[in-house]
Order: sequence, then C-alpha cells, then structure tokens
Amino acid sequence: MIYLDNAATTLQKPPGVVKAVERAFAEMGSLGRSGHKAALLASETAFQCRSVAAEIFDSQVEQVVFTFNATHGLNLAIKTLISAGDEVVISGFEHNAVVRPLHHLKANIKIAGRKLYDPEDTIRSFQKAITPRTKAVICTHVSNVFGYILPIYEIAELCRKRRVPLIVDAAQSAGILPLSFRNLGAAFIAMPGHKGLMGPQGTGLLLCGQLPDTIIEGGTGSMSKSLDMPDYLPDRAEAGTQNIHGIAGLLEGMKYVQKRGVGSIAEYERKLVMRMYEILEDNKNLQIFYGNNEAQSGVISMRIAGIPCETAAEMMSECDIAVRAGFHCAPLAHESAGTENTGTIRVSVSALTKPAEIEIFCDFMNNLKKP
Amino acid sequence: MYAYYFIFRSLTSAQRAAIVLKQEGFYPTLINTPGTMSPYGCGYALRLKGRDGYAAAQTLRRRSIEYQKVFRMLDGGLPEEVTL
Repeated sequence: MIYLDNAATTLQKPPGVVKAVERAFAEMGSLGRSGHKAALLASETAFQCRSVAAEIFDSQVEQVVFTFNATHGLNLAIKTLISAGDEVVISGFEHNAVVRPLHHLKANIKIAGRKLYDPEDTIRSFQKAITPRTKAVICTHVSNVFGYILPIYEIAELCRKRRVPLIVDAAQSAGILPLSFRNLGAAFIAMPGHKGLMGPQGTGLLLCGQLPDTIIEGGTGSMSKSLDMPDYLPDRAEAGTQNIHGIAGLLEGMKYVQKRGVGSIAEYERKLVMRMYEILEDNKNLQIFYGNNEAQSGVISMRIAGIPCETAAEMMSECDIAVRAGFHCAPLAHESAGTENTGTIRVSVSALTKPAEIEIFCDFMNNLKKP
Repeated sequence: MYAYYFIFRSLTSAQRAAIVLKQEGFYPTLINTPGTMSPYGCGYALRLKGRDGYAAAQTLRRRSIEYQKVFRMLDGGLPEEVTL
C-alpha cells in the first residue's frame, strides 16, 4: 500500500514502537498504583515518556499530561478557559476538535485569518480580532486540510502582549515542526501521539502552562482519602488507568523523532510535497492548494475536475493508494478556502514516506481518467 | 540503623527526585507510601538508608525538588516524622 493519509494517523511506525507495545502487554502493570515490579516498570516507562516529551517540547516533566488524543487535550484546555458566552478568537482553519467544544459551550466565536498561506494577513487579522473581552485565542499550528503553517510564534507574542491565554492545536505539527512550550508561553498545547510523534492510537499529550479544570474525576493513585481531584499536575488531569501500552509505544516513537531531528523531518516532508507539486502542477485537471513557501507542510489538498473527491479516493484505494477525501472534520477550513461545496482529496506524507511513493502517486494522478 | 522515607505528593515528583538523587550517588528505592506515613491516602515515597538521609535532603533542597514530609523508622519500629 502507498499510504498517504498520515494526517489522519501514521500507519508506518518505527520498528521499536510495536516491540515496545508488545513488551508493555507482557510485562507492565498499571502506572502510578502499586509498588510491585510490573507496576514500577510501567511507572518508569511513563516517566521516561514524559521526560522525552519535555526535552522535545522544552517543558517541565510535570507539565506533560497523558491524554487519549489531541481532541481530549483540546477539550480539557478549552473547558478550563472558556464559559458560555465568552469571546474566543480562532483561526479560519480550526478542526472540529476546537469548533465543536466551543459551539457546545455557546462561546462567542470570532474567526481571524482566513487567507491560505498568508502569514502576514493572519497576524494582522489576529491583531484586529483580539479585544479586551477576548477570553482566549485558539489556533492550530498547521491546517489539517491544506498544510498551511500558521505564524504561531507571532500569534503567541501577540497574546502575551495582550495578556490573553493561548491554546495551540499541534495535531499536525508535533514531532514535525520545532515547537517550544517555553518560548511560546501558551496556556496549553494539545497533540496526538499517533501522528507525527509516531506512537499508537489512543495516546496524546497536553502540555499545561496552568492547572486545567477536570472533565473526568476518578482515581489517580494519589491523595486517595481526599474526595477532590489533586490540585497539581500531572495527576489532576489523569484520572483512571492510563494507556501504558500506548505510552510505551509513544516513548519509542518520540525517541525516533528525537534521533532523526524535528526540524529535519519538517524539511524532508516539505521536499516530498514540493516534488509532488513539481510533477503535478502542469496537470490542467488538478487544482492543487500549495503554499510554495515556508508556510506549506507535508499535508496538501487537491481537487480533480469532473471527479468528486470521494470517487477519486475510491479509485485510488482500488490501486492501493491511501488518501482521505471529504471535509476532514474541518468545515471551517473549507469555508475559508472556498472548497465547502466539494471538499478535497488530502494527501499527507510522513517521515517514513519514500520518494518513490510520491512518484507512483503522481503517475496515477497524471493518468487518472473519469470513471 | 534507620531508613528514611521522603514522601512526595505525586509519583512524577518522586520519580524526578529519584533521578536527581541517583545522579548524586544515592540509592533511593521507590515504594508506595506506607499508610502510617500518609495522611492523604495513596502516594509514593523514596526510601534511603539512614546514613544518606541528611545529605539526600540537602541535595533535594539544592535542586529545588519539594517533598512533603520525611519520616525515619527503625526496622520493626514505628515511623517518626523528622525535619532534616
């Protein structure tokens, strides 16, 4: 299979990830509960995972909270900062993992920055949109549909100056683009473990600059006699048995990312997508949404004249090429880009995508005929 | 000889303390906090040999790692809260 749906999840993982999960199944008990060998091994593995994350993202170990995915982390962050009717500024490319919780909370949503691949316009829009009434800014680092890399450091600086807390959705950038929790000064950064960090599904990390409210209360293995959830991290946000099998795999995934180098992964993915664009740009049947500058990541969307995107994706699947078609859980992004009636085919690479796979995909696209 | 028990509010802070102490040449053992030493219920503690107690406390303070309480206990004896 030529797997080009890495923005959904990275199917190909570094070899150590599967072995680590197998070992965890065989040898690890529940972390943070008992004192026997199996439990201590689980606890040690979890601590190593937090430590590696703290190194990659420039945070303190205790600030690294395990979640089940980025959506879980975003819900924790959003429901900490936002109440009904609060004014929130978001980018024009946010995923439903941001928009739906805000809608559920009946927040007053203001959308800033709707021009693709235009960081200057995005910054100006945020400058205009943030007011003294703004309770929080929520911004994706990279659009999951178009791969647009938003100017997150400039937006963070703006938030610091205006004293507005920032939540960053790093679903498409964690493990790919450099991200410093300390330098951003964000209130929260949410990320999945199963995309750029190369871990299993069912894992995620939330970096916490402040104490989150709880959306799940339960056992934490600490302060058990108290009926209140602990008022310190990470325990406060980790009720219930944690997914140590997933965490063990995530640790290996992050070690791979650390060894390969986050910046070099970004450069590798950018070159793959650039090559894709070079081959396909003269195809008159294709509309490719491509940044052609530093604002383009390894996620790229396109439309084919006369072939609905779902049909095209099905044709690709029959030839063992895996992409995603439709609205990608991000209708707002499609509204911003003008693709809200058709959706797009999304092609997304990873650190393990081979250049030859891009050539095969492009060959397919250039020979695609209407069914 | 006494054993010293450093009580931490979370597993993660106990683990961070263990790493620091090991770097400085100590041999802490991570254990569930004995019930007699924890008014809050479950938790984790680091146990160290008696001769290491004071030096370990100084090391943790120097490296800004907080612990909640310290107990000492003779084998078979009752725990006694101490200030190091």
